[in-house]
Amino acid sequence: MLFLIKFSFYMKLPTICPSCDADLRVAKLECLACGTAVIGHYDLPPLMLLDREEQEFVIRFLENSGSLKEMASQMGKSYPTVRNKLDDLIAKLKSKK
Amino acid sequence: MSRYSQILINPFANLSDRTMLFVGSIAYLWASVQVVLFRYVPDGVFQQHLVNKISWYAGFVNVGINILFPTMFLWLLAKILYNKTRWQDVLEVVLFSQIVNYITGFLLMNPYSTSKSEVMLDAVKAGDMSLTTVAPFDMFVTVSAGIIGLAMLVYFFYLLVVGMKIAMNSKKRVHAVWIVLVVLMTDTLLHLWSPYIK
Repeated sequence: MLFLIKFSFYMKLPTICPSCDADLRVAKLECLACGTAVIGHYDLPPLMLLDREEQEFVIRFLENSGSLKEMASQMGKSYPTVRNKLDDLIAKLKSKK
Repeated sequence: MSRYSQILINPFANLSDRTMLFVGSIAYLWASVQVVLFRYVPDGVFQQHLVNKISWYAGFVNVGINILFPTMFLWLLAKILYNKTRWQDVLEVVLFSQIVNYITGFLLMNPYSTSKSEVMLDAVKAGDMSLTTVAPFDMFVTVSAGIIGLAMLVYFFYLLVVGMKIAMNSKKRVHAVWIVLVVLMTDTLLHLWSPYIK
């Protein structure tokens, strides 16, 4: 799973089925070192349900110790713009639960 | 889209708080001086009327009133609709949106524009309702300034709505109607009460 989280920042991990638009789940995990595979049905972690830009926002939020003011000044955006983005993310995560 | 276009379309998302506060404060000072230099009273949130005499400090007070009262009423509205709204954000929206009115004041109230519109007024007073005695260029200047003024008024409301919707994280269209209504109500209230000084 850690591999998946790390990997998602380099490659776009699909979270929605391209065929029927339902949420995708993890079906197989594989060890790249020895080739051991774990097969089952696992839900994606909540953060993985966000798109790439939203995940980067969460990472930036953590890096700034949760300071929206600091984030706003770094991004050159106003405070309410950044706060709204966070509020929208919280709402999205709640709806995905 | 260029950065300048983005700023014109939505300055409240594309500028930092500090920049907006700085630009808004400089604009406030500029408008306060402009009011005294061009001798007019901004006796409403978006109204301007010429006067014969004005004290040096009237601009600071009058322009300040037009920032303070809309901020107060819009903040009350925003607090009702979205509890997390900060008064600083509302103040920045009003400070920044008012710049458009200062530009309108500059265009319409400068001695050159007023001299041209006075020519038209004098012609009407003399009974020339079809303005045949007015030079076409004078009419062109006055009509152009009027059209630009109207466009600026629309832009002022557009900025207020866009800014307030960000300040209160609004996604409902009906909130735009509320914002415009509150500003119109504040304008009428201030115009009738007239706390402005000359």
